Amino acid sequence: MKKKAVALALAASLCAAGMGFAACGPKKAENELWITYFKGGYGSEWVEQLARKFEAENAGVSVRTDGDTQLINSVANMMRNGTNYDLIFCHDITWEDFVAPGYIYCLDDLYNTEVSTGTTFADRIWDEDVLASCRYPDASGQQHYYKVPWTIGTAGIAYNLTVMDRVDGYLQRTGAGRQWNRKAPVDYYDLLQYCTDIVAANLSADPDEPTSEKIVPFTWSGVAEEWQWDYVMFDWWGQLAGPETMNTFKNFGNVDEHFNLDVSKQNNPDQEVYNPDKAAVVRNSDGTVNKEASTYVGWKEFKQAYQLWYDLVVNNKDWSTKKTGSNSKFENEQAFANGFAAMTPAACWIEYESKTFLEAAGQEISIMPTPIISEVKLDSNGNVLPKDSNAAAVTLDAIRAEAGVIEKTVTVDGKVYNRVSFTSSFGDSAMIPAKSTGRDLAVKFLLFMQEEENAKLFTKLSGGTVLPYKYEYWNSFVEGGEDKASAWQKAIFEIDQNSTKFNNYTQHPMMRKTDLRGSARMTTIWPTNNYYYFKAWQGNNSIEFKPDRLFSDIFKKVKDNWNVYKNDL
Amino acid sequence: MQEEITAGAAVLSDAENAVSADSETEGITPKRRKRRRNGNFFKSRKFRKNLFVVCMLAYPVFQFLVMWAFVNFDSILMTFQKYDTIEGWKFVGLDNYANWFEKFRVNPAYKVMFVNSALHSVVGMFVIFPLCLLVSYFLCRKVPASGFFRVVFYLPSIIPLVVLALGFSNMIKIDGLLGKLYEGFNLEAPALLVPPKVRWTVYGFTIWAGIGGNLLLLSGTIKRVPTEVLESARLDGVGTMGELFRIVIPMIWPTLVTLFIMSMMGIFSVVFQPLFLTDKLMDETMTIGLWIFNKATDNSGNVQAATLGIMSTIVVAPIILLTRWGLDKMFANIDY
Repeated sequence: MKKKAVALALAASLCAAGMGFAACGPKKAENELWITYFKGGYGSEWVEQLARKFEAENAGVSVRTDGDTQLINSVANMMRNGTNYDLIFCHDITWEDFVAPGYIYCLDDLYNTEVSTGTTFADRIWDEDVLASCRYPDASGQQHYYKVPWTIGTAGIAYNLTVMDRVDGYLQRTGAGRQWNRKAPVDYYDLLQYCTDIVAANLSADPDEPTSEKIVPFTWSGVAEEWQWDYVMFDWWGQLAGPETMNTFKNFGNVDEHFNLDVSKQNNPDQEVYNPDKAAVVRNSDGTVNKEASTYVGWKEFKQAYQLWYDLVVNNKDWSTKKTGSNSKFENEQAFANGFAAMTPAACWIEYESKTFLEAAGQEISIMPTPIISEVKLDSNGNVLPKDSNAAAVTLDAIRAEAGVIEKTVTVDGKVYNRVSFTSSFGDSAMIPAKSTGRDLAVKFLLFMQEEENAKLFTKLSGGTVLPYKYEYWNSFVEGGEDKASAWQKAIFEIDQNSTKFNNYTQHPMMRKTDLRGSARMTTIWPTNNYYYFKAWQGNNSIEFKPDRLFSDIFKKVKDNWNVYKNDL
Repeated sequence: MQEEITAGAAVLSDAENAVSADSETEGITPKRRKRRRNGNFFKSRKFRKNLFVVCMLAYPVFQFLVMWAFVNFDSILMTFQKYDTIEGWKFVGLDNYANWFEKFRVNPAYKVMFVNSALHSVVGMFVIFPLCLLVSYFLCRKVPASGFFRVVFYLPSIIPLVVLALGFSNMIKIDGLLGKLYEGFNLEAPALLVPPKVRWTVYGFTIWAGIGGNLLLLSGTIKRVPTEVLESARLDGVGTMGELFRIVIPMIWPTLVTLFIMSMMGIFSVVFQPLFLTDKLMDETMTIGLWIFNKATDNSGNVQAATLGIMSTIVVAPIILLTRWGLDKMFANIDY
């Protein structure tokens, strides 16, 4: 009897274990499409609704969607060892690694598919830069498509409209003679003026509680996300040196005539891209770029952008919240959404992420086109001088638009400048595992997503995020002839429509394989992914973070390590 | 043991004779007799004993082959290869190792990483471990509310690290509990989660969270020390500290050695503490384990991580073995 009981218990355990193993790998039917996606700033609503719509349009097909906040950590394992998912949407995927071993499904057929008469899927992609980022060479050097870009991010300085209204109230009361009227500062001097006005207004975050925390110009997280200042820096860099310089920089000088990576040169990267004394572009007397004389190699303009940041943030330490050294990413977003600061460096997803707080606090936000560095004057120590100063040692200026160019420009004080905007989250991708059993359905879903109506639906449901297709994203919130987009969303669309977009994505192995990228998953502009914004702000004007010293130290470190990096190539 | 085996053989021989006699009387063929003899062999004590040993060893051997040899074979092999982003894997001999030596030479961040890891090991051995021993000892001396304190000290060990780190970081933030305390004294709270202080914050956290780690094990071991021995020592006038250092520690030495060696392994085992505390990867708080974790996400990173792992093992393993050998020699093993 005792033996029987033991046998019965063992059999029960075996069954339970068997069922457990069975649960590890659920069966997937032939007509099922499994999608997994990074559950972050775009939310889940978009995928849920698109999935149901896809099911409705494809009878008998069932779509399963699984959001995952940690997808970035498991996606490589999925690709190597197999997964039930047919379509993966994630950021920072090193999909290029999956090409040589054949883990990723080639999408050449998708890109050649005609989506409407005479228009292929490839034609629908945002621009050639985005299209090039989806290609990768196989072992024979032939370029193929392997991924579909997920989004086109927009970033810069977010500003709180409700706070701006209150600053206007103060200006009106004091008879200052100027009003911001919800219009963002256009140039650097405007930005300085706005910060000065905020400080002078000495507003309490809670209007009903005068002793509550005072509103400061900036909130940012020095602990977790100081890199968001990059968004501003990159735009200033782009204004000073043009997007071509970013392309040359991220490819270490190994570019072809279109500033795309030249694979044949990639084993000979040029460390001079980090040289802070070398200007990348040479200007003509009218402020336009002398293309023949410019090498597009050099970091002087980036150092100048840092100088402007330094003057704005470090030289005005009190303009940032005291909690800069402790606020996490979400605490920073909350502080901004609750009106504790007038501005924060941010990207397009912040409104969607802060929705609850914005509604609760009754605040409205927008994002400004990064102010133009229009003839900023600096003294010999790099300090900003007044706009009308005659004692300037250096006068910075954004690149002027060539004669006759009117598209994607901005006019300041009668001068026409090229308008640029850095694309954040450029590495966000959709890909299909080669071993997927639902590849055809996955391809069909991607084709479905790029359709005008569905792309707009994505934009609407993700709070204004734009897909990298040619579609009327700016009309995504139009209902019954009325545009229901928020001020934030309208600003995003305006920036995307009227700026030349550029990004820091590269397939250069120097950035992807070596220690130069440090702890970064993908590209980093700062060598070894070391950031200095917080250290500089916290360092109370410490000499080591002043532009000249910092950039000279960085270049030295790069030179010291260059051979090590090259050995890892 | 030899007597047992001889006795067993005699029993077996008697049994065989008996079987032989039976077969003669019952007319069993030699073939069937052999089968019968084999049957007896399987029932023999020697066979059953060997079977027991084999069964007991099978799992660890299997575990070693699969979870160590197989897994590490792949890692070791990887250290002699390089991943070409277009052509795939290539054999490169010892290049990866040579490049690591060069990295250590030219990049101060790696030196910081090693110093951090080594310091975590030192903190584990000479701060956390002695503190844990002291706490365990005093809790075993039935101080008032010892049960309560045991729970308090042990609590951090059963709370998930991520929760613990979150609680700790919220407590020491500028606007956290510590910040409020400073505010109360009209002082500005220090920024403990960013450089330069963050490095010491991580050590503080590992100490705070680590004291209770071995509490149960040490308490249990100390409680096993015979009370007669302790009473006798007290009658001889031995004080509290004398009791600890001259009686308790020598008597629980084998356990202490094991736990000390485990503390030494802090050089590899401090992985997520800096990340969870600061929500960021920083040179100032980087450890070998965290660096390997962060790099092991793509092929190129895997190669670097595997090479660092092997090199660290080559350096640290002999030190640990030597330490163990030395510590084992310090006190004679006492059975009680």
